[in-house]
Amino acid sequence: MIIGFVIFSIFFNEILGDIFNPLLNGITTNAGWFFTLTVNVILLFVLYLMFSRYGDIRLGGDDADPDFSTTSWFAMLFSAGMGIGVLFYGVAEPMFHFINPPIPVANQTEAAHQAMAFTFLHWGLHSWAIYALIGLALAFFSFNKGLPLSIRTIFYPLLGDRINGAWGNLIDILATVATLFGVATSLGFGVQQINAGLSHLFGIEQSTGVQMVLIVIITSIATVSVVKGLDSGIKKLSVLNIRLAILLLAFVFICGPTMFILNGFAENIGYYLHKITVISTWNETFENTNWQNTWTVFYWAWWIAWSPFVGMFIARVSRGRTIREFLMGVLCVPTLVTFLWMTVFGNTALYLEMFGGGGFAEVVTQNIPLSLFLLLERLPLNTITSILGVLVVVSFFVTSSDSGSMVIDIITAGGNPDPPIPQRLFWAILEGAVAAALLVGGGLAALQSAVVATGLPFGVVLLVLCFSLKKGLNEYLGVQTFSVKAKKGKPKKFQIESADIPPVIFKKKKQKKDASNV
Amino acid sequence: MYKNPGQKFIGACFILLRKRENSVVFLGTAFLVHDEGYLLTATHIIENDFENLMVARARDPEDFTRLSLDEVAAVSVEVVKTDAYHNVAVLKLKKGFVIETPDYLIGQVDNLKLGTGLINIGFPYGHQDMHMLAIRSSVLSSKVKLDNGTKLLLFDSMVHDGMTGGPLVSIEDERIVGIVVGRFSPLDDGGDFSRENNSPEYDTSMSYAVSIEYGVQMLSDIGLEIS
Repeated sequence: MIIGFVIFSIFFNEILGDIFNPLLNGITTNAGWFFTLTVNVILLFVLYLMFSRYGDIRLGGDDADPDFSTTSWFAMLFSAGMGIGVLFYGVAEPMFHFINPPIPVANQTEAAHQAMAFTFLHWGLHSWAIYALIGLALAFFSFNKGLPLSIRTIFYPLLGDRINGAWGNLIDILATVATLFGVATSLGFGVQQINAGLSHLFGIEQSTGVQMVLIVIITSIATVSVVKGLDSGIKKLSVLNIRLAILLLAFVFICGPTMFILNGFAENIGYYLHKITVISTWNETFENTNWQNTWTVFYWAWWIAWSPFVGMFIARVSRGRTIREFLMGVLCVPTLVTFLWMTVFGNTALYLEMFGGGGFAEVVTQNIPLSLFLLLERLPLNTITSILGVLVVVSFFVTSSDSGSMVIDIITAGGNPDPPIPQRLFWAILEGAVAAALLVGGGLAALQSAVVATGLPFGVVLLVLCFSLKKGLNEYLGVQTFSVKAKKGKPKKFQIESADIPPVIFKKKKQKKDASNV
Repeated sequence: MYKNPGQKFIGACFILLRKRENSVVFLGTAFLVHDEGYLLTATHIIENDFENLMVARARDPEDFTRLSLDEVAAVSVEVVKTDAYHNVAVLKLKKGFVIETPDYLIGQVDNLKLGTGLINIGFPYGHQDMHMLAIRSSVLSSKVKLDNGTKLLLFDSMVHDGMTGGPLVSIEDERIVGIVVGRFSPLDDGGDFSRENNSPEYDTSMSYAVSIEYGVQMLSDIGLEIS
């Protein structure tokens, strides 16, 4: 079926594009208000769970110990959740909002404030709340209620035991296909971006051949990592990935406008928190523009479409944490790290634009895949840092590719958190193959639209999930009692009479002697 | 997380009865531990006679109930396994029932600290024709071992004969830690109801239970797992 889909999308990518691009367009135009409401409801719900008594529930039962240390847990959360996007949009997005302010502003300062606030909005609490919700639901229903660790599980409150039948299989197949194409398309776009970077830096030609080689490299690293499993493969790569990223971050921080970044970090967060109610509920109602279609609403649809995959991965690595710990970990820490990242890169870019002679924004907004390298070029030691940049890009890709394969493995193994190795090999390689096929045959963009378009129906599912998760948690926390119900008929009634009290017997070597009683 | 551990385990407790012609006689307490209808109790109250055993549930114990149940709706049980060595018996409801048990039933005896709060549940005056369910509280007084290796938990409340076979529950983690056997008597084997002995040094207000691990062991011998 997947092969069929691939062939279909290669040969009919025009048709597919014709179907899904207008569909996605229609969704972002007409359902913007729905996405805006949904993400806010989810954020409020998640915050409520965090501060409520449900926070005490431990995922995996009271006796469970966390599988991973807190540091590697954060590393995996961050690598799977945001990954590659922060590298490019960390530089490019504030530039876009700065030169083209979504809400009209009076001066440059306000434009800069607003640019950072919108960037934070798109990458901040709301997106992590979506991941947290679905990750929590999966982890809770699977570790505490004994259901399989699979997408079908979150439909349990809706479908009941029917999730074990044809419906459940259908859901899992759809989730597998969506995840596979999601990862494959971003892999496809990713290698194009890496290729663009390489050609900009070293003059390597931009061709399908080079991109194929890149796919093979990334896929083989990811395959090794998946086969080695969570503990020795994915975890180590994630930690390495984060270390590389920190190195890059530290470099830009030190060589960039350090004081400007330090000042900006607190100010950006403050401005974001101050404006969060305004910008997170803003629907362009009175402006009558459609800026949000390609930004806010697109992001919401994108996060939601990705959430089954990321949520699944988050759930898999979060066994043994309490719900409060889980939500703090998934909601607050990655958000803060993202903010730090966005401030370091975004503010450096803003600094270059505002006080560094200008012209930077224009270059960046026309060339998003190169934005990171364009920024590094303006800083000292740019050959070394550009290589580091390429490494970070590759490692971000590998970590999202291997966690994607892991999720598909778990789903196709019927919810087994440790799927068999041949299966891991198969899916990891297939992922690369699909990406390669799409790259050669075309159809990447159309498929990506199709994946993002699933955000709408899945948004509805997420809202229902809030209710069913609350219900499940309630039942779990409430007074659990024994219940005994007769299948048919009532037990016979009897009179009770009194009887003698029997003596205690313990079989033992030495019999008790009556004499000792006296 | 529960309101109190009593609420969790009240529903588990059954009156253990033996059928005679058109009536039944009271034997003690038994408690449910498994969704498939398995109960645990103390062996000695069955007295090696495995026939005609029945259990009945208390009427809603949260309500004010009559002291005496003249008539009771009883269900037959079979004896699956007994262990006179450790004084534990496994019973099974004969009729098909839809049963739900709470999570986390069984506690750890070895880590249990002296002074831990305990409750035990049963039907204390069943032998005196009063069939109300009662919960008693105590603390873990002592952990002792019999000559045959049986681990006993001593607690400082005087159980009445009808409470025998009921669960001993740790308040802290709300899990069953023992099966109540009877009042402790400082005789050579440690245990007796010392009914015929009224001398104060023998008639203690201390009671004892056998460790729940023997019950868990027997269930796992039949191939059942309980959490």
